Amino acid sequence: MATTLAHDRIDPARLLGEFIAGLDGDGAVASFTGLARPADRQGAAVARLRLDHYAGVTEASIEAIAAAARTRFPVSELCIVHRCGSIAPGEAIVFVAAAARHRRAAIEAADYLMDRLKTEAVLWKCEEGPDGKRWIEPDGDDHAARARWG
Amino acid sequence: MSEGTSFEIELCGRLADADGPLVAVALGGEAASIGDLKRALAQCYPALGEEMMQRRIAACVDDAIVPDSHVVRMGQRIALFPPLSGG
Repeated sequence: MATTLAHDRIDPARLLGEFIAGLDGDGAVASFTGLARPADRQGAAVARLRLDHYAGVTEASIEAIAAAARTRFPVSELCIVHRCGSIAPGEAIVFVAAAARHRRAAIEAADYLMDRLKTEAVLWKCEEGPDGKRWIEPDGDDHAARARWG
Repeated sequence: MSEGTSFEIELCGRLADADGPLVAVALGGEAASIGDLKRALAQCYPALGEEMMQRRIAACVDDAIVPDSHVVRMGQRIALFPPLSGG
Protein backbone atom coordinates (compact mmCIF):
# COMPACT_ATOMS: atom_id res chain seq x y z
CA MET A 1 0.00 0.00 0.00
CA ALA A 2 1.60 3.23 -1.10
CA THR A 3 0.45 6.73 -0.26
CA THR A 4 2.29 9.87 -1.23
CA LEU A 5 1.74 13.58 -0.81
CA ALA A 6 3.47 14.97 -3.89
CA HIS A 7 4.79 18.52 -3.90
CA ASP A 8 5.65 18.41 -7.61
CA ARG A 9 3.87 17.45 -10.80
CA ILE A 10 2.78 13.82 -11.02
CA ASP A 11 2.54 11.58 -14.10
CA PRO A 12 -0.56 9.35 -13.80
CA ALA A 13 0.42 7.18 -16.79
CA ARG A 14 3.78 6.39 -15.25
CA LEU A 15 2.20 5.77 -11.84
CA LEU A 16 -0.32 3.35 -13.34
CA GLY A 17 2.40 1.52 -15.25
CA GLU A 18 4.52 1.15 -12.11
CA PHE A 19 1.49 0.03 -10.12
CA ILE A 20 0.61 -2.70 -12.62
CA ALA A 21 4.22 -3.78 -12.95
CA GLY A 22 4.36 -4.42 -9.22
CA LEU A 23 1.37 -6.77 -9.10
CA ASP A 24 1.51 -10.52 -8.80
CA GLY A 25 -1.46 -12.53 -10.02
CA ASP A 26 -4.22 -9.93 -9.76
CA GLY A 27 -6.97 -9.98 -12.37
CA ALA A 28 -8.22 -6.39 -12.09
CA VAL A 29 -6.92 -2.86 -11.70
CA ALA A 30 -9.12 0.23 -11.34
CA SER A 31 -7.62 3.69 -11.32
CA PHE A 32 -8.82 7.26 -11.17
CA THR A 33 -7.04 10.48 -12.02
CA GLY A 34 -8.42 13.86 -11.01
CA LEU A 35 -7.33 16.84 -13.14
CA ALA A 36 -7.29 20.56 -12.42
CA ARG A 37 -9.96 22.30 -14.49
CA PRO A 38 -9.31 25.49 -16.49
CA ALA A 39 -12.62 27.02 -15.35
CA ASP A 40 -14.70 27.10 -12.19
CA ARG A 41 -18.33 26.03 -11.88
CA GLN A 42 -19.51 29.40 -13.15
CA GLY A 43 -17.21 29.24 -16.15
CA ALA A 44 -14.67 31.79 -14.92
CA ALA A 45 -11.05 31.13 -15.82
CA VAL A 46 -8.85 29.39 -13.24
CA ALA A 47 -5.16 30.10 -13.64
CA ARG A 48 -3.93 27.89 -10.80
CA LEU A 49 -5.41 25.51 -8.28
CA ARG A 50 -3.69 25.76 -4.91
CA LEU A 51 -3.86 22.86 -2.48
CA ASP A 52 -2.79 23.76 1.04
CA HIS A 53 -1.80 21.00 3.43
CA TYR A 54 -0.84 20.63 7.10
CA ALA A 55 2.45 18.77 7.37
CA GLY A 56 2.22 15.41 9.05
CA VAL A 57 -1.52 15.42 9.53
CA THR A 58 -2.31 15.50 5.81
CA GLU A 59 -0.09 12.50 5.13
CA ALA A 60 -1.62 10.63 8.07
CA SER A 61 -5.15 11.35 6.85
CA ILE A 62 -4.38 9.89 3.43
CA GLU A 63 -2.74 6.83 4.98
CA ALA A 64 -5.77 6.28 7.21
CA ILE A 65 -8.13 6.37 4.23
CA ALA A 66 -5.99 3.82 2.38
CA ALA A 67 -5.82 1.58 5.45
CA ALA A 68 -9.60 1.66 5.82
CA ALA A 69 -10.03 0.66 2.17
CA ARG A 70 -7.58 -2.16 2.66
CA THR A 71 -9.68 -3.64 5.46
CA ARG A 72 -12.99 -3.03 3.72
CA PHE A 73 -12.32 -4.49 0.28
CA PRO A 74 -10.51 -7.65 -0.84
CA VAL A 75 -7.75 -5.74 -2.59
CA SER A 76 -4.13 -6.79 -2.86
CA GLU A 77 -2.59 -3.37 -3.52
CA LEU A 78 -3.61 0.27 -3.26
CA CYS A 79 -1.94 3.46 -4.37
CA ILE A 80 -2.80 7.07 -3.57
CA VAL A 81 -0.71 9.96 -4.85
CA HIS A 82 -2.15 13.35 -3.96
CA ARG A 83 -0.72 16.67 -5.05
CA CYS A 84 -0.30 19.72 -2.88
CA GLY A 85 0.95 23.18 -3.78
CA SER A 86 0.23 25.14 -6.95
CA ILE A 87 -1.28 23.15 -9.83
CA ALA A 88 -1.81 24.30 -13.41
CA PRO A 89 -5.00 23.47 -15.34
CA GLY A 90 -4.70 20.06 -16.92
CA GLU A 91 -2.25 18.75 -14.34
CA ALA A 92 -3.19 15.81 -12.16
CA ILE A 93 -4.47 16.57 -8.66
CA VAL A 94 -4.82 13.00 -7.49
CA PHE A 95 -4.15 9.47 -8.68
CA VAL A 96 -5.62 6.38 -7.03
CA ALA A 97 -5.36 2.75 -8.05
CA ALA A 98 -6.64 -0.50 -6.61
CA ALA A 99 -5.79 -4.06 -7.59
CA ALA A 100 -7.79 -7.19 -6.79
CA ARG A 101 -8.49 -10.67 -8.09
CA HIS A 102 -11.78 -9.48 -9.58
CA ARG A 103 -13.00 -6.17 -10.96
CA ARG A 104 -15.80 -5.33 -8.51
CA ALA A 105 -13.50 -5.02 -5.53
CA ALA A 106 -10.97 -2.93 -7.44
CA ILE A 107 -13.62 -0.55 -8.81
CA GLU A 108 -15.38 -0.14 -5.47
CA ALA A 109 -12.12 0.41 -3.62
CA ALA A 110 -11.05 3.17 -6.01
CA ASP A 111 -14.50 4.78 -5.73
CA TYR A 112 -14.34 4.58 -1.93
CA LEU A 113 -10.87 6.12 -1.84
CA MET A 114 -12.00 9.10 -3.88
CA ASP A 115 -15.20 9.67 -1.91
CA ARG A 116 -13.24 9.77 1.32
CA LEU A 117 -10.37 11.86 -0.07
CA LYS A 118 -12.87 14.51 -1.21
CA THR A 119 -14.20 15.09 2.29
CA GLU A 120 -11.60 13.76 4.73
CA ALA A 121 -8.11 14.27 3.34
CA VAL A 122 -6.57 17.20 5.22
CA LEU A 123 -6.25 19.53 2.25
CA TRP A 124 -7.77 22.84 1.25
CA LYS A 125 -8.43 23.77 -2.39
CA CYS A 126 -8.32 27.32 -3.65
CA GLU A 127 -9.00 28.34 -7.25
CA GLU A 128 -6.94 31.36 -8.29
CA GLY A 129 -7.89 33.36 -11.37
CA PRO A 130 -7.82 36.85 -12.86
CA ASP A 131 -10.85 37.79 -10.76
CA GLY A 132 -9.33 36.69 -7.47
CA LYS A 133 -9.45 33.47 -5.53
CA ARG A 134 -12.19 31.17 -4.30
CA TRP A 135 -11.94 28.44 -1.67
CA ILE A 136 -13.57 25.16 -2.62
CA GLU A 137 -15.48 23.10 -0.09
CA PRO A 138 -17.23 19.75 -0.48
CA ASP A 139 -20.83 20.16 -1.64
CA GLY A 140 -23.94 18.11 -0.95
CA ASP A 141 -23.06 15.63 -3.66
CA ASP A 142 -19.63 15.04 -2.12
CA HIS A 143 -21.11 14.43 1.32
CA ALA A 144 -23.81 12.17 -0.12
CA ALA A 145 -21.15 10.18 -1.96
CA ARG A 146 -19.19 9.78 1.26
CA ALA A 147 -22.34 8.78 3.18
CA ARG A 148 -22.93 5.85 0.81
CA TRP A 149 -20.09 4.01 2.54
CA GLY A 150 -21.47 4.43 6.05
CA MET B 1 -4.43 41.60 23.86
CA SER B 2 -4.40 41.05 27.65
CA GLU B 3 -1.54 39.74 29.82
CA GLY B 4 -1.28 36.00 30.41
CA THR B 5 -0.23 32.83 28.68
CA SER B 6 0.20 33.30 24.96
CA PHE B 7 -1.04 30.56 22.67
CA GLU B 8 0.11 30.43 19.05
CA ILE B 9 -2.47 29.05 16.65
CA GLU B 10 -1.95 28.04 13.04
CA LEU B 11 -4.80 28.92 10.71
CA CYS B 12 -5.32 26.72 7.67
CA GLY B 13 -7.04 27.23 4.35
CA ARG B 14 -9.38 30.21 4.12
CA LEU B 15 -8.95 30.96 7.82
CA ALA B 16 -5.52 32.42 6.99
CA ASP B 17 -6.88 34.94 4.49
CA ALA B 18 -7.57 37.81 6.87
CA ASP B 19 -4.75 37.73 9.42
CA GLY B 20 -2.19 35.30 8.05
CA PRO B 21 -1.36 31.69 8.90
CA LEU B 22 -0.14 32.25 12.46
CA VAL B 23 -1.92 34.21 15.18
CA ALA B 24 -1.56 34.43 18.93
CA VAL B 25 -3.96 35.03 21.78
CA ALA B 26 -3.26 35.56 25.48
CA LEU B 27 -5.39 34.02 28.19
CA GLY B 28 -5.20 34.29 31.95
CA GLY B 29 -4.36 30.74 32.95
CA GLU B 30 -1.67 28.27 31.94
CA ALA B 31 -4.21 26.10 30.16
CA ALA B 32 -7.28 26.79 28.07
CA SER B 33 -9.90 24.85 26.20
CA ILE B 34 -10.16 25.00 22.44
CA GLY B 35 -13.49 26.72 22.93
CA ASP B 36 -11.78 29.40 25.06
CA LEU B 37 -9.17 29.91 22.33
CA LYS B 38 -11.83 30.25 19.65
CA ARG B 39 -13.69 32.85 21.69
CA ALA B 40 -10.45 34.75 22.34
CA LEU B 41 -9.58 34.62 18.65
CA ALA B 42 -12.99 36.00 17.76
CA GLN B 43 -12.38 38.95 20.10
CA CYS B 44 -8.78 39.66 19.07
CA TYR B 45 -9.28 39.09 15.34
CA PRO B 46 -12.71 40.37 14.33
CA ALA B 47 -12.34 39.03 10.79
CA LEU B 48 -12.29 35.55 12.30
CA GLY B 49 -15.21 36.15 14.61
CA GLU B 50 -17.96 34.60 12.53
CA GLU B 51 -15.76 31.66 11.53
CA MET B 52 -14.92 30.82 15.13
CA MET B 53 -18.57 30.50 16.05
CA GLN B 54 -19.16 27.84 13.41
CA ARG B 55 -19.07 24.23 14.50
CA ARG B 56 -17.45 23.31 11.19
CA ILE B 57 -14.08 24.66 12.33
CA ALA B 58 -12.06 21.69 13.62
CA ALA B 59 -9.18 21.92 16.04
CA CYS B 60 -5.97 19.93 15.69
CA VAL B 61 -3.63 19.64 18.68
CA ASP B 62 -0.30 17.87 18.37
CA ASP B 63 -1.50 16.27 15.13
CA ALA B 64 -4.81 14.93 16.48
CA ILE B 65 -8.32 16.30 15.92
CA VAL B 66 -9.86 17.27 19.25
CA PRO B 67 -13.22 18.63 20.46
CA ASP B 68 -13.74 22.18 21.68
CA SER B 69 -13.66 20.91 25.27
CA HIS B 70 -10.06 19.71 24.86
CA VAL B 71 -7.62 21.56 27.12
CA VAL B 72 -4.30 22.78 25.72
CA ARG B 73 -1.17 24.23 27.24
CA MET B 74 1.34 26.71 25.89
CA GLY B 75 3.81 25.06 23.55
CA GLN B 76 1.45 22.54 22.04
CA ARG B 77 1.00 22.57 18.27
CA ILE B 78 -2.48 24.03 17.77
CA ALA B 79 -4.19 24.49 14.42
CA LEU B 80 -7.68 25.27 13.22
CA PHE B 81 -9.10 23.60 10.12
CA PRO B 82 -11.97 24.84 7.97
CA PRO B 83 -13.90 22.17 6.01
CA LEU B 84 -11.53 19.89 4.10
CA SER B 85 -11.47 19.59 0.31
CA GLY B 86 -9.15 17.03 -1.16
CA GLY B 87 -9.55 14.80 -4.17
